[in-house]
Amino acid sequence: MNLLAEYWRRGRDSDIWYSFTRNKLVMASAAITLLFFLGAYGAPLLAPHNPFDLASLNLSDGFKPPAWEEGGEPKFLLGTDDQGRDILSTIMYGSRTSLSVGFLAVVFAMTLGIALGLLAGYMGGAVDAFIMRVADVQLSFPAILIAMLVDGVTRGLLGADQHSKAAIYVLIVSIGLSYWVQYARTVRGQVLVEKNKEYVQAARVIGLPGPLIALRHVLPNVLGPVLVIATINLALAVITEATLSFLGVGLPPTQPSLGTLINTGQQFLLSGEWWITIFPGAALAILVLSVNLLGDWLRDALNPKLR
Amino acid sequence: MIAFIVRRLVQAALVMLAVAFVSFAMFNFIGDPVANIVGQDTPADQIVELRKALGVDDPMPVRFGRFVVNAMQGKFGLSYRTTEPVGRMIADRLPATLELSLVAAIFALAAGIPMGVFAGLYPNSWLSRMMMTVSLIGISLPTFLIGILLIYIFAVILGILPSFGRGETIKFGFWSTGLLTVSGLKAIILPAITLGLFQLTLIMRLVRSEMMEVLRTDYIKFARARGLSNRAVHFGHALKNTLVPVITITGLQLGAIIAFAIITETVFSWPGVGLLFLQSVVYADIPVMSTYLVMIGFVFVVINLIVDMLYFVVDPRLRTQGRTSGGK
Repeated sequence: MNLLAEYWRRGRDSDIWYSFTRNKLVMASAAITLLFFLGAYGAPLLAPHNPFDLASLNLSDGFKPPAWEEGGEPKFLLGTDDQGRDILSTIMYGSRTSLSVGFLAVVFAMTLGIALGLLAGYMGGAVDAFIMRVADVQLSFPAILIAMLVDGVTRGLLGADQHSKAAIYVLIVSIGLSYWVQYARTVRGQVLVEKNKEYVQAARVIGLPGPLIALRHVLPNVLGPVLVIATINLALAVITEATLSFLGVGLPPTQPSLGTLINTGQQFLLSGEWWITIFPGAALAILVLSVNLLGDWLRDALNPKLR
Repeated sequence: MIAFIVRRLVQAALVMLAVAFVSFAMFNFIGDPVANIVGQDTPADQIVELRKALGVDDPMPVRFGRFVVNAMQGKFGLSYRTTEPVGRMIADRLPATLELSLVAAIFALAAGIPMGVFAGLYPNSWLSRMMMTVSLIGISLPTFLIGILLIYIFAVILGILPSFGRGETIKFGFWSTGLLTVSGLKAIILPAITLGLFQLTLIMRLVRSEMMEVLRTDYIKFARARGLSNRAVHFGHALKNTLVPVITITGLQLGAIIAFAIITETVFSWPGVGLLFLQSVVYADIPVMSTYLVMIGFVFVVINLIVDMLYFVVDPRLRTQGRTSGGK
């Protein structure tokens, strides 16, 4: 208990907490991000309807406008889509998928990038040159293109049926593969600085094996900037996922993410049912904007030198 | 300078070779090209003939060599989806994409640079503050969402601009242009804004921060001390010195514009290469995908080369330094 109080006191006195409470915009975006996580992961408990329970759907509820428009019903706050699914509930379930894919993709990219960056920085020589050359070539292509290529290639390898079953994993891997370069470069740069410091030399003198030094001693010292990149990348990964799903090469309509919802809603835009696509779109925009603002703030608060 | 150019050319060739190899590997190791073309009731001897004609059973280096030679002649095989030659499919759609990208890039530059200059000169005016806030939102909004919003506002609510297609086109030999007809010009407005908006915000922010930095330097103070007009100081001295990073970013972004055209073309059903690429990803049409990869790789490499050359034109300091790679 004492320990907890101690941590609390230390957290409250820290620079980060100070700069957090000083910035209303950041506090608002933190609150919104938190709200999204709550709504997304609490969806089965909090959502007013379960849009994937076929028994509870009624086709005669289809195309209901939002509650405040003429013809809307209070039980469907943001209206319904063509199959009578409540838009608010599909947004909550959709955000869960979007956030999960984004988060796992960032973890995958981070793991891959850290591993390769550590290897390149610590080994040096030909390994370093090879990894960094691959990184350079990949960096000259936009991430979304890489992700689409990986997706198309897996589709070719697995066949369409298998692919749509494994879609969520394929998506995580393809987004992860398109964002590892930034981590690898940052980690490598940090490792090059760290590995000549005295504590590494000391570890070498007492005879520790190379991999152990790299993992136990160097790695913890290069993680700071990596975590900052990861926050900013979460927004990017969510955008990439939404874009791919919107284009029809991401998640199938049976596992809708925000992008899939926007895509299926788009066909109704021209006939006037705007709420089916505009609300998921607004949800995506607000989510990305608040995560971006948080990431920017974290970067400035943790390390002013990174700017 | 010549040594620099030669080194860059060698680098570019190596990158192209790597891209070609990846695309070749995709082409050859994923799926069976023959199985993708023939139907279930194709007789066995036809399949054997086709295998021979496509040369799928030759050793790998032979096939890679053939792939590179064919690629240089613009021969990329047949699409699995339509069984048309891929080279022709792409050539047919290239003008649409290039026109869209060009208009988007011009829009981004023509609007982004003046806005950036203004925001840099008067950082505290309400207009600059508003532009900065709007640009932050612009960066956060995904491209396809901007496209949908524009369609909703200008095509659905106001009904003044078309929401899909290219309008009427006029053919000049192999090039079909939509820039000479009224319906074509109307059709390009929304896609070009969608595609260029992200680059616009980027260029604006970049010009702004560069301007603010340059305006603090001694040579600007000296120019003012000489009694030059504001106009001469701002545009003749300050803006000119911000151009090196702007050229770098614009050049690199031109490649990104062509790649992001995939999204814009899908939203607006624009009949370009990006839409073709997307369809080929959905159908796992490997020949089209790998050709697109080679093409985009080529575009990126050429743009990078041109950007490097432009440094020498814009920044005379680099010409005397020789071996430095220039830029930022």
